[in-house]
Amino acid sequence: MKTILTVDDSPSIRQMLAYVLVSAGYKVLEAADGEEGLAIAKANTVDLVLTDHNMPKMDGVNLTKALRALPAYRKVPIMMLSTESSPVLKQSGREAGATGWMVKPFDPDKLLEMLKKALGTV
Amino acid sequence: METPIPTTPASISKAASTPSYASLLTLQELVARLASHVHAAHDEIGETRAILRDAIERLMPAFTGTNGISDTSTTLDNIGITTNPTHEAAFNALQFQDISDQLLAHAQCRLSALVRELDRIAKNVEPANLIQRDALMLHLLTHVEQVNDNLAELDLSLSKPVSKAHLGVGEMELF
Repeated sequence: MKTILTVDDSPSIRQMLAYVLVSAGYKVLEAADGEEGLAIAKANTVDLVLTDHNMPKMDGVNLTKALRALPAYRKVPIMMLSTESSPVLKQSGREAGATGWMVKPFDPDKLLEMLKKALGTV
Repeated sequence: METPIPTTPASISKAASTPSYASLLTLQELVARLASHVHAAHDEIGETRAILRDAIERLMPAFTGTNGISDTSTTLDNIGITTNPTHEAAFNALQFQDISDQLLAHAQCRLSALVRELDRIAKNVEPANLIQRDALMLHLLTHVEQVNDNLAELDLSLSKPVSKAHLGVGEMELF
C-alpha cells in the first residue's frame, strides 16, 4: 500500500483528502503545516507528498525545497494543491522541485488520476 | 498684537499650508472614524469566517459518518468517487469554505494593515503638537511617505490568494 502525506492547514480539506485517498487504497499521513509535514516525512517512508501552498510556519514551496534537500526525498513526487495559479508561483514551485501543480477546487477522480500518473502507476 | 491678514500670494500660500488646531482636530477625528469603520469591517469578516467554519464542522459528521475516513485500511473502488450525490455536495461545500476562507483572510489582512496605518496617522496629527508647526508639518510629511511605502509593500506581499472566480474544477499539470 502506497503512503501519501497530505499537508494542509485546513482540517476539513485534510479530512476530505483522507477520504478520497483512503477510499482509493492509499495509506494517509496528515500534517497541518510545512514544518509538521517535514517532521512527519523524516520519520516515515512516504511515496508521495500532496501539499497546499499557503500555510503558516512553512509554505508549500519551502517544504518542497526542504524535502528535496533530503536524500530520501530527491525522487519522491511532490504535488502542490493550491488555490493559487499564478505563473510566477508555479515557476517557483517547479524550481523548488515540485512534480506538479493542481489548482483548487479539485475533482476527486481527476486528483486520483493525476496522483497515479505522478506515482507512475498508470 | 493682531495677526496680520495675508495680502501677498506667498503669504496666503504659507497661511494655507499651515495646519490650524481646528483642521488637525477635524482630520484626527476623521482618521479615527475611518479606522473604526475599517476595524468593524475586519471583525465582521472574522464573524463570517467563524460562521462558515461552524457550518463545515456541523457538516463533517454527516459526511464522515457514512464512510469511515479514520479507518486507513478501508479500500473502496476509486472509480466514480463523486458519483454519490452526498459526497459530491460535501466536496463542493468543503472546497467552497476553504476558498472563501482564504479570500476572507486575505481581505482581513489588508484591513488590519489599514487600521495600523490609520492609527499611526491619528497619533501623528495630534493637535497638541501644533506648538511647533514647521516641525509638525515635516513630521507629517515624512509620516505620510512612510504610510505610502508601507501600503505599497503590502500590495507586493499579498499576492492574489484565489485565482478563480467560480467553483469549477481547476487545472492540473505535471511539470
